[in-house]
Amino acid sequence: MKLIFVEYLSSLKERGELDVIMPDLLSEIGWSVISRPAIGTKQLGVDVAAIGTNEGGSKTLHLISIKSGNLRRSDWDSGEQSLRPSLNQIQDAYIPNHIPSRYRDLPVCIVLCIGGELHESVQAEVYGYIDKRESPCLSFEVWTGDRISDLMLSGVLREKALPNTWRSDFRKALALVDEPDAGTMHFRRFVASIADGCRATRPSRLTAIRQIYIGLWTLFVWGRESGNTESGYLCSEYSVLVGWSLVKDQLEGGSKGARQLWQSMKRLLHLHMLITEDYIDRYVARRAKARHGLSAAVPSRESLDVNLRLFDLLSRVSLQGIWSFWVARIGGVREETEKAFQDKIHRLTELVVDMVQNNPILVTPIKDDQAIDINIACLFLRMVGCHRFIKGWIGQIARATVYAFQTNGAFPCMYRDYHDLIERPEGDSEYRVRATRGSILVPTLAVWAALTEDTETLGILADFASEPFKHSTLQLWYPGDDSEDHMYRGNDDHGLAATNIKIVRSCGAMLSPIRAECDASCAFQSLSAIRRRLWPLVIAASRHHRMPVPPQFWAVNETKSGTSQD
Amino acid sequence: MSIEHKVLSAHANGTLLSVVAETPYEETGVLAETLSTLSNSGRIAFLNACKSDQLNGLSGTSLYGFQRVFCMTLPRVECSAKAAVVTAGLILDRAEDALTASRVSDALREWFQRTRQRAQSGLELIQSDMRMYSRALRPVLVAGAQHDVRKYASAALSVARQPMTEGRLDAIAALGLMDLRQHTDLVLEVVRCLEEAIERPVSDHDAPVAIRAAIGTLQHLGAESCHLIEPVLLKGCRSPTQNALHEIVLGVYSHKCVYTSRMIDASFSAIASAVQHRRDTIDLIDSLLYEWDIRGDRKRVLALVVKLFGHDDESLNVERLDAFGHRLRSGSADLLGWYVVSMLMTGEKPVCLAASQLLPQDEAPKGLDIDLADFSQDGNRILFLCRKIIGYCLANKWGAAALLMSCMRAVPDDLSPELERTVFDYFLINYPSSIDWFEKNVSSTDRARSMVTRLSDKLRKYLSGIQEAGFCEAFRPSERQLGLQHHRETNMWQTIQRQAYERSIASVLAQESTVLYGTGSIYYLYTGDDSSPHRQVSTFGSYKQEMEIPRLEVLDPVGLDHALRRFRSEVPLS
Repeated sequence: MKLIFVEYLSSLKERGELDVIMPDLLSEIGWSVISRPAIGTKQLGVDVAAIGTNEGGSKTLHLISIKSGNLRRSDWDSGEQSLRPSLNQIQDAYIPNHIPSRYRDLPVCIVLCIGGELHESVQAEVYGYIDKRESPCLSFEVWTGDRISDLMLSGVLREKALPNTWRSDFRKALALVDEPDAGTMHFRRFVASIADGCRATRPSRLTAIRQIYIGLWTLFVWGRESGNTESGYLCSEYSVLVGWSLVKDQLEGGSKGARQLWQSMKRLLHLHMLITEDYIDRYVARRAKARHGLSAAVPSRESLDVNLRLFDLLSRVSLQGIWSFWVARIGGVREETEKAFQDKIHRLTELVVDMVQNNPILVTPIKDDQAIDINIACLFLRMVGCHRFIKGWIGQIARATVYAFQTNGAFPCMYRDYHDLIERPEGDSEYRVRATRGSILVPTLAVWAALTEDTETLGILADFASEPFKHSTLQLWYPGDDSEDHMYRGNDDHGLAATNIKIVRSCGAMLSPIRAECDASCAFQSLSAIRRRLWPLVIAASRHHRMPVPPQFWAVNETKSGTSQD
Repeated sequence: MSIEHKVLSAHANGTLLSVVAETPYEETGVLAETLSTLSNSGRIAFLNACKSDQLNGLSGTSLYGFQRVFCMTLPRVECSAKAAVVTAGLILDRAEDALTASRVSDALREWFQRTRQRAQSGLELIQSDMRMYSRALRPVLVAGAQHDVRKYASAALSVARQPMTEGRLDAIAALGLMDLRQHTDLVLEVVRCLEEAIERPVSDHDAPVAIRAAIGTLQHLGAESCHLIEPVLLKGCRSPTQNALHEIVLGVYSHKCVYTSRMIDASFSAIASAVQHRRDTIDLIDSLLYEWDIRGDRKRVLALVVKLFGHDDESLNVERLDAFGHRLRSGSADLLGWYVVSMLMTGEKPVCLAASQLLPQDEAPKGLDIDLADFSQDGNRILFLCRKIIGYCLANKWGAAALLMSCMRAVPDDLSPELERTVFDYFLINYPSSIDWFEKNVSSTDRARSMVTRLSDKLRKYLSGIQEAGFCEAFRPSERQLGLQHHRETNMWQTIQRQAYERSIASVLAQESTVLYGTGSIYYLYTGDDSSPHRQVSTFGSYKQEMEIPRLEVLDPVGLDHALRRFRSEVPLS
C-alpha cells in the first residue's frame, strides 16, 4: 500500500492538490491546522501551518512549505517556484511577523514537504542549508513522499479505522483503473465499507469522509497518470453522494465538529468538481467542437455504445454546469470569483449546445431513462436562459422518438440493462409494445414542450400518446417519504410514480396537474439536500442512480423550482 | 444368356416387365428390337404383359426404365389400333411427370405414323367413341397429317369447333403441329379457328393452347407468313391468363427473329401488364431479356422491366431475373448506368430498389458515371436523382459514387450547393474514403472538378476535427458490454455461415472434410486397380469479402434511416 501512496503523492501537483490534502492528513494525526493554503502564492513561503509534536514529543509550530514531485537541483534555488527562497522568506518574514501571538513561544519547525523524493544531486545543499540555520528554537524536517505516505497510513487510513477488506478493494480499484466498470465496483465497495463501518458520531464521520476524500484523490491521480479518469469521475460522483449521506444528519448547530464536517463535505464537492472539470477538459471539450467529434471518439462499432455514452456525457457536462451555477449563486465551495464561475457556466453552456448540434445521436434516445439526461441538460440550459434551444431540441427528440417507434426502428425502450438493449430484435411488433409498456420520456418531453410553449410538438406527442403509444403507462416520479433514506446511497427503490399522466394539447392544461402534485408533495422539500440548499446533489443522485429528476426542479416555474432556492 | 432367352424365360415366368425394367441402359435398344420381334412373331404377348398386374409391381426407377423401353418398342409392334391406344393409355396413367407422358404420347403418335392404314384405323377408333379414345386424338391427327394433311386438318378443325366435345383442346393443339405450308386456305381456316378459341373460350385452357398452336403453325410456315398468324397472337395478348402468358413469353422468346413489330409490342405489353407470373414464366422472361437486344431496344426493355418490377409482386425481383442482371452487370457500364438511372428516375420504390440491386457490389465499372444529358436538363430532376441514388444505392459505395459523379457534372450552377450538401452530408460522411475515387476520376477539364475540390476540402476539415482527438479510451464500453457484443456477433456470424453453407452448391457437390491444422492437405486417391494410390496435395485458399458500413449507421442511425426513407419516398416532379 505504501508504494501506491508514494507513487500517488509524487504525481500530485503542488497547487490545489498536494497542498489541499496535507491539512487533512495532519488533522487526522491529531495536529491542529492553523493556516490552510490560499489561492495564489504561498503566504510568505508557508503553505500550511499546524501545531503538532516534533520528533522529541514536544509541542511545536510546524511551518510547511510544499513542493510537488521530486526536488532536484533546478528546483532548489533557481526559478520562481524553487524551495530555498520560500524557506528564506519563512525565516525572514513569516517567523518574525506572522506567527499568531499565542503560538510565539512554541518552538518552530520548518518542514520541507516534497511530494516525491529528495534528489541525490541536491541533498548536500539542502542538508548544508539546514545545518547552517538550525538552532534551539528553530528546527528543520524533510518530508518526502515516503514520509507523507506513513502519515497517511498511520493517520487517515490507519488500519484500525477501516474494515479489513479495504486494502484489497482499494488496491483492485487502482489496478483496474483502465477498466472503469470493475474499478468503480471495487471503489464503491471501499467507500461503502467505510460508510457502513462508521459510527454515528461527528469525529467518526469526519474521519470517514476524509478517508473517502484521500481514497478518491488517490484513485483520480492514479487514473490521470494512466490516461483514463473514467473511474475517477464515476467514483467521485458516488463519493459525494455517500459523503452527504454521512454528514447530512450531523450538520445541525454551529459546533466546531459540524463546521469541520461541512468543510470536509465542501472539499469533497470541490474535488468532485475538479475531477469533472478535468474529465470534461481532457475528453469532451475539444471533441465537442467538431461535427460528430464525440460520437466518433467512442471506440465501438455499435451505435448503441455511442448513444449511451453521448447521453451520459451530456448529463455529466450539464450537471457540472448546474454545480457551477450553484457555486455562482451560493458560493463557498471554491474560493474563486463569481466572474470566473460565470465564465465557466458560459463555457459549459456552449459545450452542451455544441454537443447536441454536432452529435445528432443526441436527438434519438435509445432507452427511456435517458429522460434523466435530457432533463438535466434542459434544466441547466433553462438556468442559463437557452429556452429557444431547448424548444428546438425537445421538438427534434419528440419527432425522432415518434418516428423511430412508428417505423419500429431504434425507439427508446424501457429496458436499461445493456444485454437487453444490444439484443433487441429488429422489426418485432410485439417486442415494440412490450418494450414500451411504461415511459417517463414521453411525458418529460411533453412537459418541456409545454414549458417552452411549443404547441406543435405537444400536439405531436398528444397524438402519439393517444394512439400508437396508448398501451404505455406514462408516468412521472416524485420523491416520497422514503426517498431521503435511499436517494444518496441508491441502495433501494424509493419515491412515488404518478401514473395517470395525460398529454394534452394545451400547455397550461399539460402542466397544471403536474404542478399541483409538486405543490402537494412535501417529501421533496424535506430532502436534506434541499433543506441544506445543496439541491444539485439531488440531481446528481438522479443521474448517478438512474432515478428520474424530481419534477419540482423542472416542471414548475423557474422561480419556484428547487434551483432558485438560493 | 442372350437377351432373347432372357425375354422368353421372363415372359414364361411372368416377370417380363421387371426384367425389362432392370435391363442396363446400353442394352435397351437391342431389347426393344427383341421385344417387338418376339411380339410380332407371336412368341410373346408383350402388350398383354403390359396390361397385367406386373405393371403395378413397378415404381420409381424401375417404372421409368420400363416406360423408356416401352416407348422404343411400341411403334414396332404389330397390333390393332385399339390395343396400341389402350396399352399406351395404361402406361400414360402411370407416368409420373410431363416428360414421360409426352414420351408415351410420342410413341403412340409414331405407331400411327408408321402406315397410312394405322392412322386411318386410329381415326376410326376415335370416331367410334370419342370419349373413350380422346387421348389418342392428338397422336392420330398429327400422325395422319403426315400422310394426308388436308384430311386430318379438316378432322381436327371439325373437332376443334365443337365446343363441348371431348378432345377439343387436343385437336387445337394438333393443328399447331401440322405442316400447312402448301395449303394457304387451310392456314386461314386454322387461324380463324384459333381466333375463335381465344375470343370464345370454353375453358381457361383454350387461349394458351390456341396461342401455342398459332406459334407452332408459324414455326412451320416461316417468317414470310407471320402476318397470317399475327391476329391470333394480338388477340391472345389481350388480358391473358397466367398460362396464356407463359405461351406468349415462350413465343416471343423462341420466335423473336420472325415476329412482327406489332407482335413484339403486344407480347411485351402482355408480359408487362400481367400482375402475377408463374415461376417458370419468370424464368422464361429472364431468358428472354438475357437474349434481347438490350442496347438497341433499350426503351422497350426498360418499359418492360419498369412495369415488371413496379408490380407489387414480391416474387419478381432482380434476384429472380438474375440472367438479365448478370448480362447488364457484365456488359458495358454505360448501358448499366443508363438502366439504373432510368429506373431511379421513375421514383417508384420497387423499381428503384431493383435498380440498386443491379449495381455490382465491388468496384464501379469504368463508364458507370454516364452523361445525364439524355435524361434531363432540369436541375431539380438531377437533385431528385441524387437523393434517389443515396436513398437506394447507399449500401453500394462505388456504384453510388459513380452515379453521383454524373449528377455533379449535370447539375446547374444555381443548384450545385444543394447537391454538394447532400453528397457531403449523406455520402461522403458515410464513406470518407470515396473522395479518393472522385478525385481519381475527375479530369482537370471535368465540369465536376470544382465541386470535387470543394468537397475534398470540406471532408479534410471534417476528418481533421475528428482525427485530431481520435478515439477516447475513457469512452470504451466495459468488458461486460464488449463480451455481450462479441456473443451477439458470434451468433450472427454462425447463422450467416450456416445459411451460406446450406445455400452453397458446394454443400451438394463436394465431400466435407474438417481440417484442424495446416494450410493444405494430402489426399490419397485409390483408382480401384491394384496400382499404388495417387498422392494429391492441395493448398488451401481463403476467400474474404469486405463491406464498408456507412459511418452514420453508428453515429446517427435513426437520423440516417429517416433521411434515407425521406429520399426514397420522394415522388418525382410532375
